[in-house]
Amino acid sequence: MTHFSAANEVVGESSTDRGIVRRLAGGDRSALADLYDRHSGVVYSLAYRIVGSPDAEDVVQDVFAQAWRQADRYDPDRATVVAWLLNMTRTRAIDRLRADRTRQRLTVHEEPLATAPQQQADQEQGAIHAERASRVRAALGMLAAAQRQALELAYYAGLTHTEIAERLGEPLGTVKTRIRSALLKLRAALLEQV
Amino acid sequence: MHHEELRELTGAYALDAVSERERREFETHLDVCPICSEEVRSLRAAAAELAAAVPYRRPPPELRSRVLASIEKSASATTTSGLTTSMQSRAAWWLAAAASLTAVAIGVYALTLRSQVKLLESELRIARVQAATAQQQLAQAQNDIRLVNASMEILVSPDVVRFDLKGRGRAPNATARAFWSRSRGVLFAAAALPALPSTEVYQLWLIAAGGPVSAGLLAPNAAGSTMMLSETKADVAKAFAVTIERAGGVEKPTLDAMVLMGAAP
Repeated sequence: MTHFSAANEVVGESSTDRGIVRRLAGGDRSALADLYDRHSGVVYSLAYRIVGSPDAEDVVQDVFAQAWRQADRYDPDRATVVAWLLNMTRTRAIDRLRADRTRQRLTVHEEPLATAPQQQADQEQGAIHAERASRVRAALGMLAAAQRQALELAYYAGLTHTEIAERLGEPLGTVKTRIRSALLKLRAALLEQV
Repeated sequence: MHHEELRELTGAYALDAVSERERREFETHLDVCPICSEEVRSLRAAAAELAAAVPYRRPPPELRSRVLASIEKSASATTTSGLTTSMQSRAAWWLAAAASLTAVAIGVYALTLRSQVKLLESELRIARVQAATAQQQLAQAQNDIRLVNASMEILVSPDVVRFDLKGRGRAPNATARAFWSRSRGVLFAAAALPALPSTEVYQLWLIAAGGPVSAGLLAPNAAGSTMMLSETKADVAKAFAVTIERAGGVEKPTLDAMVLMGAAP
């Protein structure tokens, strides 16, 4: 008796997306409308989570404008189109957040990461995104609360590890290790789901 | 700082949660350390998933036309960007476009070459480190090839018989198929099997003329699917069945713990 060592890859990339970005690189403006219609939801959701409204709208505009300008540099081997867009989104949102914070000395808004699926809202964005969201939240549920908090502060609130240590009143070394353990654990939990 | 201390930074670096100076220092280390580079790569992939965990929020409807209109004014990827709109004279515009196009093109080309070299150097280091793992993976792949070949032999065998199994009892939604070749054994695939506690296991049975014969234990993945090859020999297979037994399996099936059953066509 022998078993197959099949590792089921989660299908995340769509050849449709790659086709759209190729058209975008060729200067096809209708491709931008297609890209927007497919992914503005997740881009806006991430931007909103990080900077709220109305800055989130500016971030969305900047992201799609950047996609328009840099479509010819998109490399499908390095990331899916969605990951490419979300990467840009987070970078721009965090930059804006940090700039606002420095200028206006805004307080950091801490929002606990959801670990339970959010049924109704998620259904609207399509089965694939909803499935992915609940998968990640389930994986986050495997982390300790302190680890989740460290990820929350670093990823969504854009704090450096030094700032996190100051905010929590903990040694820098502890925070560094906690962030690394949190990501290692998240990765393990995500791989286990396959 | 040496490697073991620096390695603690991979998480913060993957999240961009480091100062500008720390980032530069760490990148110097990454240039020479394939272990940290590989860890950063995989932690970045995990971190990227955090983008999906946010509550969904529908963008305001008017944002769409605003975004599409904003690119009307800007150049596309096929030409250079960053020209100011205050350039009045058409001639000046064309001159500037030509000049900056060349400068940008050369700059981009040099950047591309340099980053390609860096990428290759880093990949070479990582490749050396991964040589041992590759050996292991090769052995695994060769094993997988053997399994695939064995399965093919069953599927194309002239004496192959197909059994369709239906779920019941504790696995009402499960389905399965068995391809049985008297000369080669059985290729079995099942789906939608509920997870079992560690004290229990699914066991496959070949119902031969003389009664049930064990064809092995199943190991479904998290999604409840499994595929198995068993060389159990018998002269005739009247049916295939799966029962839930205690961990480790048993000699004779517990008939009222049957979860899948399919008779010969």
